[in-house]
Amino acid sequence: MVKLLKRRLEKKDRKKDKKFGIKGDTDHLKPFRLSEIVEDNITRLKNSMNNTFDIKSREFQIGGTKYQAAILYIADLVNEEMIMSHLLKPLILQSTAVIDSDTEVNFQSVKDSMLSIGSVQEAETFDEIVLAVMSGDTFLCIQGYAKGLIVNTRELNGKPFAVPTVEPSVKGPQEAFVETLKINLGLIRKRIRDPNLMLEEYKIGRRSKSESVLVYIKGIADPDIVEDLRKRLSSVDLDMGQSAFQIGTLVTDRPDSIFPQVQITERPDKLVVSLSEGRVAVLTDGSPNAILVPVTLPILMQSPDDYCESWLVSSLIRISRYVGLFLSSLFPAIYIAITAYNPGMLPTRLVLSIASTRTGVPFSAFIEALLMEAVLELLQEASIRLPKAVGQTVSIVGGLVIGQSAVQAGIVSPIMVIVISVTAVTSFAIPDYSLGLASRILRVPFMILATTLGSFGIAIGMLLLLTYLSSLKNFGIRYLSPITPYRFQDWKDTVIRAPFKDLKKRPEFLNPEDTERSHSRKKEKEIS
Amino acid sequence: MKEERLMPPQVMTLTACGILGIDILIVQRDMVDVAGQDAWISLILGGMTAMILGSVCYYLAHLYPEMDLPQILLHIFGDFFGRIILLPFIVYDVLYLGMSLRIFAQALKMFLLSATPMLPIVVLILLAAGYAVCKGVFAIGGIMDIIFPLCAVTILGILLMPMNQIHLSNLKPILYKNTGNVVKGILTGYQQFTGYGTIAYFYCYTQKTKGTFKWYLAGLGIPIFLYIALTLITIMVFGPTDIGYLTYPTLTLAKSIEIPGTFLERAESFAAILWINIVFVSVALLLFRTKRNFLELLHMKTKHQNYVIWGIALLLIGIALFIRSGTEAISFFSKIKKSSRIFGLLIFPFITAMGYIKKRRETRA
Repeated sequence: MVKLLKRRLEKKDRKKDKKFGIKGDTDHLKPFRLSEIVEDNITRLKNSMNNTFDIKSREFQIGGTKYQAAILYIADLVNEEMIMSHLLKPLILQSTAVIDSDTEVNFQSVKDSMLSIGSVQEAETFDEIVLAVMSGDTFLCIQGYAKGLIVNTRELNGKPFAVPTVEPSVKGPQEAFVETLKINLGLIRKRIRDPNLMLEEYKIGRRSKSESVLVYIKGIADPDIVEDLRKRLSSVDLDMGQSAFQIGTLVTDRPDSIFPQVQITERPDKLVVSLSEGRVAVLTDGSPNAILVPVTLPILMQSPDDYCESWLVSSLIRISRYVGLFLSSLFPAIYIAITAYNPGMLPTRLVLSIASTRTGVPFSAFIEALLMEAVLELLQEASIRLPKAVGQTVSIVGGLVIGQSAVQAGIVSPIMVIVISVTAVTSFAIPDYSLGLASRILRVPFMILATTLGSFGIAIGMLLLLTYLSSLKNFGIRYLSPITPYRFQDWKDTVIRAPFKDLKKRPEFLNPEDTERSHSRKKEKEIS
Repeated sequence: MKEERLMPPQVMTLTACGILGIDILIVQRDMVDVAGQDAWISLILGGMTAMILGSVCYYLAHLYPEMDLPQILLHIFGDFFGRIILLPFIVYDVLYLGMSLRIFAQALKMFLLSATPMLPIVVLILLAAGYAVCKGVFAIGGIMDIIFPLCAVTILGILLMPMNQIHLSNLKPILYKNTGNVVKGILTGYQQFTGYGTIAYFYCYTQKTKGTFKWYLAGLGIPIFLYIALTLITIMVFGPTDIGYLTYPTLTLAKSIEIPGTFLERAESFAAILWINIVFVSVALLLFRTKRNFLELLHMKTKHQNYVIWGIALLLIGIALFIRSGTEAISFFSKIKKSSRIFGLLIFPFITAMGYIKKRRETRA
């Protein structure tokens, strides 16, 4: 009966939280105050921060006396050396000198005489303590006092981080994940000071025992997705868990798909935004990338820069990306279909111009396109493998010299060089590298369909592709969401990006528990 | 994981795609044959009839929200009589689908693939539709969501482009000594929109909300509006006499559009590509319906549905290529539609009435 009542109350609370969306801040912790018992304080504080594995506590006796104390901090955010030398060492070892000089050990004496750290503040309520700990401070409490000390132990110089290379941004932050898990978690913690940020640790790899961490925001992420991912991560059976991508492939429904089934990101800012939308991430020690699920095609077409420009500019850029995706897969096929089957669709002058440029070319448009496509792919692959400086040389030699020579030798027509160049350029407009690869793979089947059945072949290919994409599911979410099924609310941040004032709700298709990003004025009044 | 359901807006796209079909190419000729220059009035009245019957059909689906049409039939009329009533549905759907594929292949040969035989065209479109049906109802819903707006926008484009060629005088005299034909044309007009019955197959997968019915009405209204507008514009451009001689008036209308100086000068190829999409959605939906009907008729398990789908596909290839002459195929297609008019008009009100009585009895019991 009591259990039932408790469950009812919990459900009611959850509904209330959902309604007002207040779970994320620490205001609801205001009424909670410290008690005089150290153990109780530490346990309650840990619980209010969801007891994630990176929250560390240490209980000790001050100067070996009966005075019990404890510290609490988040390992990823603090300078642990500072805690050791300026907090624990003075309190445990050096404090004996203070105690010997007959000074009474009390809260004030600890604050004034035993800590060799610049900023020390008193605190009594949970909200200020939790916020401070989440910001990288260390909390110290002493037995018998219903107050504690917030000691500034933040990593002032910042931890080493990389610069994004695969996902560069013009105006966004220039921070990227590194190979050390602790630093990566710190980069996330630095951006989300929410006690509901959940970190769950997994050991993956029978031999490597690599540390992987499941990251999500409790109260936002769909519990079904979290539970599903938990199960999949637990069942991963690997000898050596080496990279985030390897783990990502093992937890997806369709690992054989050419379309990315997990989003790989090297950007902490992107990961944090995704978490706030209700997605779930996995980070692995030794891997400079994180995986994000669920993933959908429109999500893969978004870039961090979209949120650094005005909504109109961002929307136009996004639309151009979709055009890029379309052309990257279909442009050579459309060219083949029109020239071989429906030249009447083009203006007469253009048809004549194309025909004249093709005079003397020994191959059909399809073979021509296939040859050029093969050269392009080889050039791209070569420029990735080679050092940066040499890679650029290869691009110039490949793009300009070979192209020009091929035209002069009469092997390919100039128009085909234009078509393939435009295709290559459009494929670089796709923000997700894996999606770009998928579009490149699709080019050849579409070219075959175009050369055999013209525009009918392309239409059939598109319909088959559309059917495949519509049937794809990723952690229960349709791959084309929110374009289909129609969720008009979510369209504000799909092909276009609406002004920030209109993006008040989280994406509905991800089934977030807390649907509101920001409250309307009316709701704010209700809350107050 | 939560149970997946079709969203209410998908009811609109599914219904609209169920109505848009092969007829979009020939609707004007069918209507003008009966009602002359007043064909558009018959189409309006036929559209209204379809809206009323569609609402009846929706009510039937609403009475049994967790069943689709073949299940409802077996539930209301019992295993034996239910299957007897199911048979005409199957025969009509299979013949209509087979002949739709034939006319599609014929038109495609004429406008896009003159040197390609009809067999690969029919096989490929069936392959694409069959694949969609194998992937299930939610995949079909997703495809319709994307294809429907593209089709609607392209049709609107075809409607707006020839505005400089229209002659209002082609519509005159309105209703002059032609009222009888207009009334006769209502049945022909209604026939163009029989796809409203699609809801009876998809309602059981839909999220039931207050707005679902409004979305359904929108799904009925949009294709009705497009058909009426298409007929009106075609009459105004070509005149009722010339339309009678056109095999595919819509494609001819598209062919008349020229955009000189732009990158693409002729629009008929685009219209033909659009039409591939329309036929695909129509074939996929009819194939889905036929599959469901066959599964219930033969009392087969869902796990065997793929065999049924590809079996029906083989049958359809046979039907599509059975008639040699193109003109005969078109006239046979018209005969199939004519023969099912009265059945189509009466069957849903009859089933709904019986369903209502059965439901009341069940509730009392």
